[in-house]
Amino acid sequence: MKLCVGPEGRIITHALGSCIGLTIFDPETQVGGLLHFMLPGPMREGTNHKPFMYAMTGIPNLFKSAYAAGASKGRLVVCAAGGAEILKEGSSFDIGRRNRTMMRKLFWKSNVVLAGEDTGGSAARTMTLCLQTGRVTIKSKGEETMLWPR
Amino acid sequence: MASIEERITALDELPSLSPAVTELLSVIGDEDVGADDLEAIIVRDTPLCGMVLRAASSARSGFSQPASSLREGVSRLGSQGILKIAITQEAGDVLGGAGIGYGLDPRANQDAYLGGAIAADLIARKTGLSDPNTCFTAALLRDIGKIAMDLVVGEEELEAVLKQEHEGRGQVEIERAAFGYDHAEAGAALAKRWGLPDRLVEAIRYHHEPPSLDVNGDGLIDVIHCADMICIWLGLGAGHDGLSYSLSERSRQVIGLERSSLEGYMVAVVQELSGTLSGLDDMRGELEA
Repeated sequence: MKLCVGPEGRIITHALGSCIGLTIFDPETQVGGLLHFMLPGPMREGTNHKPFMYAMTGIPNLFKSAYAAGASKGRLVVCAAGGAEILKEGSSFDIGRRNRTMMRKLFWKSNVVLAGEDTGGSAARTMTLCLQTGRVTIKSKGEETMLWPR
Repeated sequence: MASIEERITALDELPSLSPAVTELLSVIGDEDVGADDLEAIIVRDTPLCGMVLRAASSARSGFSQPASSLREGVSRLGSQGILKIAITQEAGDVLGGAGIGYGLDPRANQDAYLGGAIAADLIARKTGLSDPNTCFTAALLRDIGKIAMDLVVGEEELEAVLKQEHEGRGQVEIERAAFGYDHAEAGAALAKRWGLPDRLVEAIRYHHEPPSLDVNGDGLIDVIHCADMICIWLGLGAGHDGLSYSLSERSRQVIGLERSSLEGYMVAVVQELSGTLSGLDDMRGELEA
């Protein structure tokens, strides 16, 4: 996870596979953050050594850190990308789908609405948050698209 | 149409492994090879000598006193430790610029080959199926076919094909339909050209499509396949091909990959990769200083 305050710079996460990249940005205070989580939650309680690897612990931490830095929930622009799936598998790992489901469950409970989302499919994605404008871009297969603002 | 072997043979310039690394690979697992033989191989490669001495003197590797000679360094690290250092450095030199047509840069390449090697080593140690050092080496080299594809097909043509919509087709199928061969076949042809041992050639050839019968009976190909899939899930080295690969059900069963073990491997790979990259940066910094 990375959180910044200030009008300069970008935060990037490269090559999201089944992991999800989540950006938050407050246009007024210019508090911006990016979380790259790998899995919905830790396998067993008490083994959660790296909270930012998991949606369950990483997402609340990202928001708490942003509030502590001056962000306001009502102004936050939240975007998500990644959560892709491999083509087929004999078992039901469904990591990308389970990551997406956990993220949506947490947002539904907390009344957070995604301003932009590019998830699922089988493409890898690179996600960038511009701290000056809050612009969120996605690069996939060499092509860059704007996720926010649309 | 010329075969991939013929196309690789016809290339004027081909990246190659250093003579020292090729020799070390040829003696992998040979119990008759002693410290004298290893020292004789290493002493002819000055950068490798430096790396062995630094690793054998490093607190990170658990040594409190510097190694006083190359012989002492060889004894401290052992043949497999030396091979690991040599092949990791060599992979950086040879693979760093590979996969341009796949949309990969040196950083993404490094994440992919090191992540796969770490995953294979972890799986081998946990399952006891195959020698961890052979698995590490095979996984490190599994995608050398992407070097060959850049050279044989050409980066622009390769990129144009890979950026098309996949429409549910796998990467291997797309490459075969477009070029008549895929990067795993190209990698095996290059590995043969380099004179790598047959078991490494087979692991490279079948890392995306393990055969239904494991003729060697040691699960090496299954370990490499699952290690590669773990990297794909994690997005390590994911380029234009993305996640367009399939997990072999047979390999999954051989490895005993279940949801909890898969997630355990994913977490362990990310943590170990982070430590390995820091160690490599330190070593390169020291060598450049």
